Amino acid sequence: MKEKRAYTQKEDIVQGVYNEHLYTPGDESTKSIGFKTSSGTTGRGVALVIERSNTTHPLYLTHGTPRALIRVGMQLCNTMSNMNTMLRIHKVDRMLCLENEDLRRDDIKAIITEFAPSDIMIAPVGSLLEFIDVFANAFPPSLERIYLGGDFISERELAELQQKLPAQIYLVNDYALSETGTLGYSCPYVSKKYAESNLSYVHPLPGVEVDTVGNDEENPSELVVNSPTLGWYKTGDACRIINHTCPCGIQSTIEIHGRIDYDWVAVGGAVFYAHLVKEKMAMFSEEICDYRMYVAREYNSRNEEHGYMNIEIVLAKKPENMERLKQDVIRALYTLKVAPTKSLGDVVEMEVFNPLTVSVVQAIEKRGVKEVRLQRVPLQKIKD
Amino acid sequence: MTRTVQQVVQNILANLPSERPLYKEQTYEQLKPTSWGAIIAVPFLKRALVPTQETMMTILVKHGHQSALFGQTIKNIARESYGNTAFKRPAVAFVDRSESLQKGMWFYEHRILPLLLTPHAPIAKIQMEKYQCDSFVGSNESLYMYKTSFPESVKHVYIIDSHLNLKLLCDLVANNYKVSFVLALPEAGALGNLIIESLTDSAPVFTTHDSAYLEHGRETLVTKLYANPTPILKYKTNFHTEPAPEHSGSPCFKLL
Repeated sequence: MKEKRAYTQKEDIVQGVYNEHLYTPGDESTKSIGFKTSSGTTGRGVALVIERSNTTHPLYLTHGTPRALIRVGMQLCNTMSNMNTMLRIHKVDRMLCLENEDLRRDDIKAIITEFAPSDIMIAPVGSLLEFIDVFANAFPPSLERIYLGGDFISERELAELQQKLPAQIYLVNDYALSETGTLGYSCPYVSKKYAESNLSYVHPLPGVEVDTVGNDEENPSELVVNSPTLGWYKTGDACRIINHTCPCGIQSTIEIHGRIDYDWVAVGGAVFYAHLVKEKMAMFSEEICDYRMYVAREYNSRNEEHGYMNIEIVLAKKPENMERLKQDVIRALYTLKVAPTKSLGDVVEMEVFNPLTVSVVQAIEKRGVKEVRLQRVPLQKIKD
Repeated sequence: MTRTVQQVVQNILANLPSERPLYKEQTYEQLKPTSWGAIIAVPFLKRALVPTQETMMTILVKHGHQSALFGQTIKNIARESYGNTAFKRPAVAFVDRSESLQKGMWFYEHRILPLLLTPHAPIAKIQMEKYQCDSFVGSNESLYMYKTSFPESVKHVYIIDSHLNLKLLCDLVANNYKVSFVLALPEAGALGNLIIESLTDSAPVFTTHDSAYLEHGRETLVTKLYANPTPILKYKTNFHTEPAPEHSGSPCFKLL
């Protein structure tokens, strides 16, 4: 039987600066602490956590200290903390941090090749696809590993991405939370075993202790991680822990099913509540038997957040007029209240969002314990 | 030019490897001015000349459509002077990620924990409120993005930029912020700190940073007096400057 634990969860760490007692201005120990922050747009508030950098194990070290490391994207606070750790503690030869938008610069291929990276850390998957487009068939010969962070990615998707890369570049899935850093990483043996899976499988990072709250080895429940600075922390991800010995030597694997739920998603000042979307979609219950709304964002050249949306629908029966059904769905959702005085139609008109698109799919793949109806996804998926 | 400057530059040149596409000469006097174009014409790893035992923070410097990599050591980043930096909880936000990280590293070396802001102003506001930031460090452009999000705890604004925006500075002073302005280039670091009393003069006056040696003129040449992996020696800038009388014993220049 498991011991009783007092779990820390997101609600506990959004009240103030978590672990503020670790910081004393002017003290030498400041050099080995850093902020971790979450974006605050997933509906659970902004977390600002101070962590001791020297107690966390950067993912890059699972494959030896990188000689030349590039990090693309991710929260700036977290990047600062990571850069400080990599340069000061782990003594990486050289490190460069780029913005996602930098991948669209005309000279970026030459710049990255000149830097001669051995390892690249990149998030989200949309940026990796841009990176692959930039290099096409001429990747930097120095590049050995790419670590992919950001949103959930299945083994099947990971295998598809690996196929787009030359054989000498190994793609590693970095399973991480903004507020905790990396929790797990993919392993070639496990990836091969589950290559067709719509779930994700990772080994816990060395030094990271994980468990599930459900005390159930058969069914997924919420993953908890024993973090040096957060204690036993509820991650909000649905997982199952498989105890077995992998050929790589690691003795457990985390089977990740995805986020447990998003009750609301905020993008560009607009807030989408799942229950309000459900209310609007109820009027189509005869024609549409299932749906999922994707909300994504990126920053434009003026550094303003810009939103993209798509709704996938599964038809209950063939409609008399497909185009009219799609238009009716769009019209209904444009009346969705997303701000105190604004509807979704208003924010589309204000060009905060691109117009809503509707796509018909055969089935909605369910991830997580609860039914997920709102999901944030990388931009690239919307473009597809 | 003082003897010290000559000696420091000579030491930097003496430590360069024999193959040196950028600086072939042996003394400061022999050196020819270098420009952005001359630097980016040499590949980064050939340009990163000074051998160092330290790890190298690399920054991407952008000039319009062109960009180039510059290597810096943490120790040298810490040597930059940002004037009267009496802050304990700085919020750091530059439009460019490299610059934010470079300045963030400065704070780490000075044993101050910097809060690097997200580019999303409403979230940044929450972050600043939580950390009770006492100061904001950024560029003219980032200041425009974030100034309406400042919590009351922010009392001091540090602008580090290559352009002086008089209206912006005057507005901040009028709104009772303590203001500091540092004239700087990302690749060359700080050149001078604005004497705020000269703000309304026809040509504002700066105290010259002690790690920068300037040859004033229509295209002022800057030499950084420390051995960065990518050295900055007689680097041609767009600043039009001329010497000004000393201020509190420090050499000064006017920005024309």
